[in-house]
Amino acid sequence: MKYINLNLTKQSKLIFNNPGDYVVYFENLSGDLIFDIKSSGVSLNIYGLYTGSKNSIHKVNTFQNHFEPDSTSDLLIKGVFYDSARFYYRGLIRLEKKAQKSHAYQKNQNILMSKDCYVDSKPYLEILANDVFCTHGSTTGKLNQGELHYTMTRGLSKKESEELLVGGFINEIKEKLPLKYRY
Amino acid sequence: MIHMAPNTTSRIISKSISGGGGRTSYRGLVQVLPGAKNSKVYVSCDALILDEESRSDTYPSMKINENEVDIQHEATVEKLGEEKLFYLQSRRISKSDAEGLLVNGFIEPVVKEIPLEYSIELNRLINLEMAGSVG
Repeated sequence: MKYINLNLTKQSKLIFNNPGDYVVYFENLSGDLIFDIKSSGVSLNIYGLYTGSKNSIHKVNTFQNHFEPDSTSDLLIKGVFYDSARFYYRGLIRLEKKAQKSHAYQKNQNILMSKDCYVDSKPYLEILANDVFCTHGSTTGKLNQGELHYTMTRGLSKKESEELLVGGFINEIKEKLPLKYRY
Repeated sequence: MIHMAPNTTSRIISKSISGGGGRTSYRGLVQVLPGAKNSKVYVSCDALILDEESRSDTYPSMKINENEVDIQHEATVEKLGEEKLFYLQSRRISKSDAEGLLVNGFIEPVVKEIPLEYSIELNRLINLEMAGSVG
C-alpha cells in the first residue's frame, strides 16, 4: 500500500499509472485535487478532513477520473464547522467509456456546530460506461442529539460531550489510515 | 427545493433510465435558508444505464445555511443486474420480458405514487420501449 499525504507532498494532481493500493490523505486543503486513474487494478482510497472556525473559508474541488477498466476509487470527506466557517465542496466522479467494471464511491459528511456556518456540497457524477457501480452521498446536519443526551446523562458537560462526539466523527477517518501515519 | 420556514420536510426521488445512446442528467438544488430550523431533506437519484453508448450525469447542489437540519443526498448508477436477468430467464421468461420486468421494478417506487391509470400506461410504455431494444 502506498500512502500519500497531500499536505506534505503539495501535489494537486495525482496520476495513477500502476496497479496497486493507494491511500491519499489531506487536511483543510483548498483548490483543485485531481486523481487520474490511468491503469487497471488501481484501488484508491481518498480521505479528506476539514475543520473550520471563525471566518475560515475552504473551497475544494475533487476529481476522480477513471480512464481504464477494473479500478476502484473511494472518497470520504468529513467536515466539522464552527462559528461562521464556510465550506464549498464540489466532487466529480467521471468514468470514461473505456472504464467498464469500475467502482467509484464518494461521500461527504458535514457537521455544523453553529447556526452561522454555511456548507455548499455538490457531489457530481458523469458516467459514460454502463458496466459500472457508482454511488455518492452527502449528509449535512448537527451532532446526533440522542448521542449527545446520552453522554450528558453519564456526567459529561455539554462541551465535553460535543468534543467527544466530534472526536469520534473525525476518528472514523483517522482509523482508516495506516497505523504509523495516524497521529 | 428551497426551505425558508422551520419544521418542514421534503423528499426528491429521481429515477432515470438511459438506453440507445441516450443521455440523462439530473440537476437539483437544495437550499436551506437561515432560520429554517428542523428542516429535513432527502434526495435520492438512481440511474440505470442499459447499454454502452448511453451515459448518465448527476449534478446535485446543496447549500445549507442552518445547523439544526438533517440533509441527505444519495445517488447510484448501475446496469441491469445480470444475476437477476439470469434468474428470470431460468424461469423461462424471455430476455426482453425479463429486462422489462427489471426496469419496471426499478421505477416502481415512483410509479406507485402516481394514480393507477397513469402508472399502467407508464408500465406499458416501458415494456413497449424495451421490446427488443436492449442487446
